[in-house]
Amino acid sequence: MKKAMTLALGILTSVGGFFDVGNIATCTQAGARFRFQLIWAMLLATIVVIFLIEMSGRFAAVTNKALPDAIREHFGFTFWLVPFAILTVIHILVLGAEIGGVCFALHLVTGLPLQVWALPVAVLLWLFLWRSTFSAIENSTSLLGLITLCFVVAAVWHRPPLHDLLRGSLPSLPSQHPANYWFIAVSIVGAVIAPYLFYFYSSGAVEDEWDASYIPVNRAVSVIGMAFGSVISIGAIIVAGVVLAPRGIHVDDYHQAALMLTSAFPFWGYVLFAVSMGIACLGAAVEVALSMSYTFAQTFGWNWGEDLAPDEDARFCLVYTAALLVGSLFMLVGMDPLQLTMITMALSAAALPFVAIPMLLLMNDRKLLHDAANGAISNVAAAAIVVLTLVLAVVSIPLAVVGGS
Amino acid sequence: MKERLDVIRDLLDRQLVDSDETKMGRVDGIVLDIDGDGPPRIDHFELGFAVLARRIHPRIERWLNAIRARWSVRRSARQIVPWAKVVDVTAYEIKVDLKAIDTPAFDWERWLRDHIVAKIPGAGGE
Amino acid sequence: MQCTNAGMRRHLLFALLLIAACSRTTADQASSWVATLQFTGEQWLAGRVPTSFVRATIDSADRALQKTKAPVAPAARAAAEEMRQAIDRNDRAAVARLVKRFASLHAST
Repeated sequence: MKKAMTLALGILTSVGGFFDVGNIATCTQAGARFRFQLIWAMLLATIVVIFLIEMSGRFAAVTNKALPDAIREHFGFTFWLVPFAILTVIHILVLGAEIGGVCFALHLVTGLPLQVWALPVAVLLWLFLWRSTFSAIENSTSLLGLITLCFVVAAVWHRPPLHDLLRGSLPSLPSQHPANYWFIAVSIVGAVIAPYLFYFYSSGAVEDEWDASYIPVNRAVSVIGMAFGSVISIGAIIVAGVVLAPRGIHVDDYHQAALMLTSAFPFWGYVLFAVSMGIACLGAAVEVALSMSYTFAQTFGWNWGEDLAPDEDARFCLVYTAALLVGSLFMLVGMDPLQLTMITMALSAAALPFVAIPMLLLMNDRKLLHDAANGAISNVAAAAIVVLTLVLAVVSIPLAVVGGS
Repeated sequence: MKERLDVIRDLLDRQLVDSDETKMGRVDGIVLDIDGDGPPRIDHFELGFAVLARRIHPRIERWLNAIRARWSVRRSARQIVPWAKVVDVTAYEIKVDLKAIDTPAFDWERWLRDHIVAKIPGAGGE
Repeated sequence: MQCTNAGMRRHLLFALLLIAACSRTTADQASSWVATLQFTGEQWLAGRVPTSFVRATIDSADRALQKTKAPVAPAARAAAEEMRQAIDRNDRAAVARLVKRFASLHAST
């Protein structure tokens, strides 16, 4: 019974972690510019992230250690320092982008400018983290996150031609704007395979006290959860493709994306978009801030855990507090949230080899994982992922320069 | 404890845990005692940012020490955990016969708890 | 060897941030913003978006159009400013006219 609950909650949480500001930004851009042509990029990214999440969960379940913990122990501090530093920078940028997403959602609802909301949002997030337990956070953000299903409903309502959808599910070359096309493709992958996602997942598994018996549950959660999130993201691509693309509206600014749902939901479309974006980004921001705390605490061997009261792990709390303060600075100084998001996605894609490869190496350590170490299928996937991340690392920044708008 | 320990694999960078099962830092450095002709013995573990900094580059350690001298609440740059205090070395952690809250490892933790966390409502568990 | 790679990466990174911040805009984007203003006006007339949103969108459009060198930009900006005043007055007829103006501007791009 407990496992069934874990399964259900795990799926919901994965949905919440998946669909965040990065997905909103990249999927709406993809749909608006190239209609359904980039659905394959989302599918590819989903398959990769399923493997990574499954491995991350399996690792934590068997060893009872989260990734930062295990990587420092296994490879030593000097090796770990590089991924750790990169992960920290990415965490802060992503947090800034997610906070930007929440600020924009509040701006849509209230009409007040984004900058006004930067500190209030940071404080709200902080209160959430200060007072809640891990499960409370996960449960509330995932249940509320179900509102993002409105993208799926809208996508179905628009009745997109199935033939075009299937064609978009296979990779194809663009008829125009190739640099932009590949930039968005890479950004989609960078948005889905967020480094914090599979690091956070391993810490979450330890927080939830998974053991080896959770391996099947973990597999189900990875596949179904990520697939669910992917469906919602594809829904966003479709809606953008049907509503914005024919009108020649590109998403160079979040305001253009906000119009997406007003056709399918005449009276509520605007509000639904705002609420979906707000909740998705809020949930993701909490996860990113926590992820940063986990990473620091585990690296230096501090007491950690969201279930602990703050007076038991003050340094853990200090990290997310500082992270939220720094993260709110981007919006406070008036940076454009969409631009911040796209820069972050490109850097995220570039950073992937550094953060994914250590984990993939660990997955083959039979002394650590015994029978649960990677089998042939997982290793083939791992090898392919390594190649993909290296390619992404090389092309993402040049593409951002050449193909970004 | 196993009869043979690999100093790098089993001890370095490992999680230290005190007598209350509280995490008290990692083994950032190991100091051996070389006494005459006999084999080196493990004298003590070292904990601290300064130790880590030294592993990266000695200049970073000097820079960190300068900052620490001015701003830190730490009593010393390096915290020492004598080998004699080690109770057990398992696959997960190294158990030591100390209370973390009493050691310099927890200087920052203690300072934060007393000066900041205690002042904010809701810091205790429910 | 490592230093050179790190240095190069840093330069690339800086260039990226600089260029992303400068946000090159093209005629393509101008056309997109004109279409956006048209759609926004339509949705405002249908009561599907609030007035504050239209104002904010006009602000973003104006900033973006200012950066582009597209021939349609000055006319579009002028129309956008008119639309801002029209919605402030709640002048639906004026907004409807401007929506048509945006449509023809878009068609010309």
